[in-house]
Amino acid sequence: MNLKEKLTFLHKLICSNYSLSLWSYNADFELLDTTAKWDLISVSDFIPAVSSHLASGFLSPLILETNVGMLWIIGFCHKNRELESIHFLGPAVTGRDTSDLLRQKLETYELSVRTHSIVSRMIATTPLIPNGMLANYAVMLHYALNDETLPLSDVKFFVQDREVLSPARETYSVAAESLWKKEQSLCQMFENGDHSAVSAIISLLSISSGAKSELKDAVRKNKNNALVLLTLCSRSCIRGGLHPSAAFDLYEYYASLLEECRTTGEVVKFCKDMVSDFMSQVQHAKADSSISPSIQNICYYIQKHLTESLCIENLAKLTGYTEYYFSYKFQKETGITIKEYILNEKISRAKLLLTDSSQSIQEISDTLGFCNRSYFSTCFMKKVGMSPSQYKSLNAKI
Amino acid sequence: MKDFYFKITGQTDLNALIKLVAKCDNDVYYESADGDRISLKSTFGQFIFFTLNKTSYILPQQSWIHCTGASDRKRLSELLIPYTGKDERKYHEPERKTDFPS
Repeated sequence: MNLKEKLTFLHKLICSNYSLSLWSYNADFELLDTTAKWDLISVSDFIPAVSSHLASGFLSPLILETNVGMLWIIGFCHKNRELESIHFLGPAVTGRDTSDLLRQKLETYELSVRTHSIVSRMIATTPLIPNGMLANYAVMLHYALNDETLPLSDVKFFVQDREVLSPARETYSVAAESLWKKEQSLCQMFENGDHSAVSAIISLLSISSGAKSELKDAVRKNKNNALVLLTLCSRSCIRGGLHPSAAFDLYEYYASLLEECRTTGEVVKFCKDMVSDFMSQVQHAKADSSISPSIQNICYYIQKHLTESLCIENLAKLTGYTEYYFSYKFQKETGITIKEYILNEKISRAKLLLTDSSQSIQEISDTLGFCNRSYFSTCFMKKVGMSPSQYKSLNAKI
Repeated sequence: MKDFYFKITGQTDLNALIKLVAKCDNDVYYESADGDRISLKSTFGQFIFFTLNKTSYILPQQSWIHCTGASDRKRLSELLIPYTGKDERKYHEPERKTDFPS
């Protein structure tokens, strides 16, 4: 295939998913070919961005975000580092926010109804492509142009300055001082693992509703505030004795859970549950202060990976100790062997699954990695004093 | 500063026009009989302009280029034909979004 055929093929391939146009220019920015009706390069600000990229000695692909928020993939065809042609693929947007920004900008123009509707349609049909996907297309374009494979990290991003109407900065507010004090005392409560922090955050919410940003989406605004609270809470808990890896794991868990909230009420409930969980963890960590952080950390790891295969050799590697010393240290600090600890945790989880889920005993046995149902029942009987089926029916009656 | 108007014909090279507008000292607008007024110096204005052209919405008889100042007039005259029948621009009332009852 020659260059034109390769480009046409790549363009068709991309267009099967996203409708993008292709422009080809020579090294002097003279239009060679396009699938669009207009000359892209005549639009201001393209030449300076591309020229500055080339002046830096780069011939790797570029993703250009113009000051209106639209994106273009730019590929460079070269022979022995001598630029031969420049190719643009676009436009695209990377998020719903960009489309909203374009619509807001559209409102500032004096346009007739017909023009307004034509441009609105154009904005609505501009494909929304994630950044990662754009970078993949850029690498593919570079391959089509130069027969060279490039890592994604070689794709450069260039963002033109956006015209931003920044709100006037407000002068220092007296209320801020009181808010800061309340926030400090809340962080102290987090550090102490104090469960009254749950009601304290509700009173803090009545004083401040977070940053005074003009977000149209009230749920999003609440989620942003909850994320700030989550960050403050997790960091304070680390200062309160919670192991950083446990705190960061909880942070990640709650950050993803937060995105599933659909209403402001759900976000408030999320905040209460999240703070309550963190407080329990801090209290637990304080009670276990006789146990070294490395053993606390491994206990947390076991609780989190109960459904996976847990061998002592790997657990020892995680702590950095030899298998023998790890087993010795674990028993010395916790009073039980590591195998016993894993079994206890598995039986606790099994009790939870027997009452809370519709899983069968066989499924629970498989989930928790017991070699067979019979062995699971024997272990369960030994620890709980009754068989799993008895435990299940007893709790079902309750 | 004095206002000047130019005609857009079917043969006007719109890409060359945008390149010329970039050299102008003051703002240059695309105006239509429908009431559109788009700054051709802003990137977004240029996108609107090209979108209209792409959809064949720029009608030569109902569109004008508006500039201010003698120097810009001289520059644009290299490409465009000055439009003298200024009053003819108002041959029908522009259809504006704001004209709709709220």
